[in-house]
Amino acid sequence: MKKTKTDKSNFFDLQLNRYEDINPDDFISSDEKKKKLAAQVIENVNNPLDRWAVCATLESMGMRDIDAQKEYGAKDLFELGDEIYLICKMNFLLKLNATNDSVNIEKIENQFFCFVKYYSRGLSFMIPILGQIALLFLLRYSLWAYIEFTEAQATIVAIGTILSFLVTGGFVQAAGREVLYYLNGKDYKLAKDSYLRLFKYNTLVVSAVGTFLFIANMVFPFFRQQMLIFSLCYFLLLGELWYSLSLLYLIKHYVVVLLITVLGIIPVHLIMQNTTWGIFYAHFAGLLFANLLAWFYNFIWLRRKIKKQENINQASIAKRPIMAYIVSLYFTYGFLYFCFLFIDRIVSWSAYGNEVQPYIIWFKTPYELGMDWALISLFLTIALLEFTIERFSRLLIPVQQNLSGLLFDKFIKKFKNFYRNQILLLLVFGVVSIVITYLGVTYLKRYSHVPEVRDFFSNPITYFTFFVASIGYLLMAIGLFNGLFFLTLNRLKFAILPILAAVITNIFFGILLSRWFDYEYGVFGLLIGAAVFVFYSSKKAKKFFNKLDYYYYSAY
Amino acid sequence: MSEYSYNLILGISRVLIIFYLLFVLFPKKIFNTQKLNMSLDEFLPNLILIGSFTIIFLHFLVLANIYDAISLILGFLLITVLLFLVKNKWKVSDVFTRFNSFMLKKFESNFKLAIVNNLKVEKIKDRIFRSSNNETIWHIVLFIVLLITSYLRLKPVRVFAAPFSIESYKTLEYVKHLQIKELFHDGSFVLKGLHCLIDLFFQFSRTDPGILVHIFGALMAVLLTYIIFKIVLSLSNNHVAAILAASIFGIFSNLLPLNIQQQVEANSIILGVIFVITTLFFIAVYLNNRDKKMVYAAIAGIIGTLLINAFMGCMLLIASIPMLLTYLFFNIRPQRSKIFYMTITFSIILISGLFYGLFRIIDGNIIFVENIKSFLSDDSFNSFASVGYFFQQELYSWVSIGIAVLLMIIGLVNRKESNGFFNTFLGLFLIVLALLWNGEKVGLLQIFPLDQIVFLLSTLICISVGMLIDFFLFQLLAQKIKIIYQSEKRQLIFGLVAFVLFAEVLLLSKAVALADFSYVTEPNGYVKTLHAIKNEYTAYQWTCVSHYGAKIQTKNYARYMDYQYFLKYYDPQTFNTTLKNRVPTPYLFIFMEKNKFVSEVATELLPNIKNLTTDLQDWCKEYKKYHNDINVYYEDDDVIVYKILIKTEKQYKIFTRIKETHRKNKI
Repeated sequence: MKKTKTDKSNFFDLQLNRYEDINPDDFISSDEKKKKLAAQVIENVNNPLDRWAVCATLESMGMRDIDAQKEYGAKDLFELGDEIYLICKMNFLLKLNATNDSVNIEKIENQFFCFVKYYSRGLSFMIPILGQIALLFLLRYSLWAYIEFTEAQATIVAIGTILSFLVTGGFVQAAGREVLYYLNGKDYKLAKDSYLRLFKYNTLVVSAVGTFLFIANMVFPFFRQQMLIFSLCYFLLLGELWYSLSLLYLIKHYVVVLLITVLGIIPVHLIMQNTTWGIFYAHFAGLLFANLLAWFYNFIWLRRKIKKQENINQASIAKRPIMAYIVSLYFTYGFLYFCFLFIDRIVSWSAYGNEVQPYIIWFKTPYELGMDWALISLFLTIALLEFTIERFSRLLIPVQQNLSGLLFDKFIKKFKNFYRNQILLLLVFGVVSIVITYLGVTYLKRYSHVPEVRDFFSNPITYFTFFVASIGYLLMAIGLFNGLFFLTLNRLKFAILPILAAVITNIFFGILLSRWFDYEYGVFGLLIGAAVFVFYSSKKAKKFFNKLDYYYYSAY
Repeated sequence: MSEYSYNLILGISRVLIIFYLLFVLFPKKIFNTQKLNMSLDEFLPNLILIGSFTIIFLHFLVLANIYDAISLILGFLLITVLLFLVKNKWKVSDVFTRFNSFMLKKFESNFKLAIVNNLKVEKIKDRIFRSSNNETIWHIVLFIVLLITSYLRLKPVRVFAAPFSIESYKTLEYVKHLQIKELFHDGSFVLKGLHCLIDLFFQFSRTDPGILVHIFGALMAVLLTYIIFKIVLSLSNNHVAAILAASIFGIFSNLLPLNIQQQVEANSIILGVIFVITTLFFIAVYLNNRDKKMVYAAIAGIIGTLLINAFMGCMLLIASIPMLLTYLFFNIRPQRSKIFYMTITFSIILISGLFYGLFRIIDGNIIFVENIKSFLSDDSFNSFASVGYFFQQELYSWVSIGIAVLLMIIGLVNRKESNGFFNTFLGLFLIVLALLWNGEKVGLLQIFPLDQIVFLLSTLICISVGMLIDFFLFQLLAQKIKIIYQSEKRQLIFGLVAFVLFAEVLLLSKAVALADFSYVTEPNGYVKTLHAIKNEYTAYQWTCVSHYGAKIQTKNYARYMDYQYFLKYYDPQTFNTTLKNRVPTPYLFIFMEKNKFVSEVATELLPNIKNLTTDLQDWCKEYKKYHNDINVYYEDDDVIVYKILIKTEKQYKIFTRIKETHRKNKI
């Protein structure tokens, strides 16, 4: 039968009634020696069930009747057990009274400082992207973009980029679980081994997908073969780069990420200035260089860390099937996350009216500009999740330690409040982010003498896409916010099912709306999918927080 | 090798791969065929189920205005997932766990060892020759028959790139309009089942729809040959009979009242016949064996037929009369209730009455009769009318009736055999078709196109001949000569000898039919050039100035301008130098013939311009005087294609500035 809140309170009252016969004076008067012994019992069995449990524990500690008589002045072990039991219970009652005070311990921490620290850490994800945007403005090209791309060329890059995110996304998420696990345990050798193993698999899968697409396109020419080869080169190089950079994110070397992605532009610039090879080859050289830099840095860092490590663990990483079992759900989540993020583009770019497109997917600039614009608001919003999850992790242990196991409803209530406050904060932040993004970007309108700026603001589809996608991304941030709690306490299925539903909804509504009205309406797929994501994940979150004590207990 | 030949060979290969993936492999994976417990090979039901599903699904997508490659791929994925979930009783979690466990198993297995194991010669040998030796030999013979069948029909396609009939442009136009989600764009109600399937092959194989239309009839004829083999084999379990029946249709079709030219380009009749005979076969299997699973395949077949061709729909309805009669006769048992007999009899009377009533109503109303005829006709089939058969029509009719009577006798004598029911029905239906063919002679109103009736009749004759060969040669004669049945090898030798003898007789009697065309709708050079341009240039980057047929051929991947517009609005001297009527692409191709006096292009495709070729040639000559951006892109004995590089806006501005400077300098 489902336990209600009232049931829980009654249960708690019953627990208190059981100790009505206990006199606090007994506890105060009991000598230090017995208190020490009681502490040992508590250490062994936490909260003993009854006197028999205490006696059994004492016996297991090697205590005999003669010891009870000689050392503690009791008649026998059972009498000593009774006394120790009372002390244990008194200790528990005293803790019970102190609960309210202890729960507030976390308030001692400077919340504002904490917020600034983690929010800026969340924002640091944006730094490499900002670096690329800056390069684009300065040089007209970045590591994988070019202002003068035609739509056909942009299609090539878009296919490569989206593929790289879809295929590598799962591996990055898996590394986030597996490699981070060893890094947190300061076991750098195992971290290196698991990182390299996933690197090998990532390379294998990227190569296999690339080869499959190459052969499939050779047989069924959905794209011109040369066009696809360029796309696959982007896919391969970007896929490797995302994975290489993932370690830098895990060890929080954000500046290095920025440096690598900025330094990667050197070959691009050299080729563009001194040769006639064109932008594609320049990009490939740049990406290859960035990859080499990232590999080199990762290698050096791991080697230094392993050298510094005093006690190198001789154990080896989990066997392949075990690792696959551990990370499979993380992998799925990572894949679905990127699916959700990009599927509306595929859907919208494949829509056409009375004129069939040259290829089944055709890049549409105004749509992409609107989506990129909205993406800024998403970055500003999800930066908050870093703060939220850090707070959640930090709160869990002290709150649990300072609360009796019997006070689980207080434990749940505490975290429900936390969840509510955080979601409110996220909503406020999301709305503010959208407004800031809108105002910040439209500020550039005053430079409309620059052709690129003029072009950016010339199409109403860009505005339309921005507004709808911004709301969609805000909802998506809430879904991700819910998902993070599930991920923290290892409830992956809670996270996967909502995002799977969101992806399916995104595709379904995206296809219908982009074909019925116009291609830009495909963005509603994202919005409706995100709404489903929020609805379903919130439902799961409700269930999750209602039984948080259990999920926390069974998390690891 | 020309671009056309290259595209043709690749196109055929792609279509075959897609056919295998979609119609053989895909249904095997998604339908639980083991559970179906069918009495026959799963190929036929799967083919019809997937074919009908595809036609219905494409109609739905087009009507819902969401049809394109992505929707189609996602739709197929969705169906796969739905069927998978239905099989797993909607337990998403279970599916998830199963997928996880599947992946783990893969991880646990040793990849390298698995690859080595799969590459073992013995295993490969076992896979190829897992059937008995006899079957392998028959499979090889069948393969040769199918290969010859395709060669006989595809030979002219290799030589002639241009369509053989004007109706093929119409078919192509309908296919291309499906791509832009228009089902009835011209207001004429033409069933689109055939076009849906052609476009399905285009969407998945990316083969030029023009090539698909050009070869679709031939490929369907090969499939029909294989289906005849399958049906005869299922009924008789006799490879010789099945292969002979198939080869009569595929190779020796001169024996039949057919024109092999009808079996080259796409038309709905061959596809319709495929659906009709398989559907009738499923219904017969159901009525005979009560295999309920056959009902799904039969329903799919009926819907598919109705969406492919109205005439074939009528044939299904007509076939229901002999089918019900046979069923009634085979079920005369004392335990049957009166309601059963009454229902069957009432159904027969109702269907017969319906046709009789229709005949009475429209009798004498010529316009009505012609309207019905036109609705039931497929012009792309009828345009190659059967002229002059190998034998006289009367002889064919009597032979058909003779075969029918023999079959009925065999069916009734062997009524307890599994093929007794089908033989009797086939005999009755053959008689009905022979009567319809000779309708006017027997006093029936002729509302059905004769060529179409004859095609169905011929197909059924092939099946019937197969059944007769099985009965007389293998059940009567071979059983009498007991020595044949003493070993498998002897059976095989007897079969092979019988096959070779038959084939030799037929070869000597010049029964082999080879598709041969003396007329094409436009010069081959035109179509070959279009293929070359398509392979070389990105879509919508070029404009084609050509006849109306090219408008359909280039639809959905290039711009088109007709001759009349071009000559009226573009002056060779000031071409494209004014902002008005600028050519919207970087390249312009002008197609023209060399012969000024006689055009090889069908008159239906040309505008009403007196000296079109002369005008076009003069235009190009004049253009060359003022511009240096024109060159010959393609030339052969009959045609010449010019390419003009169109100046971009920027180039145009520079050009006008230079011109302006020149003018000023002159002043």
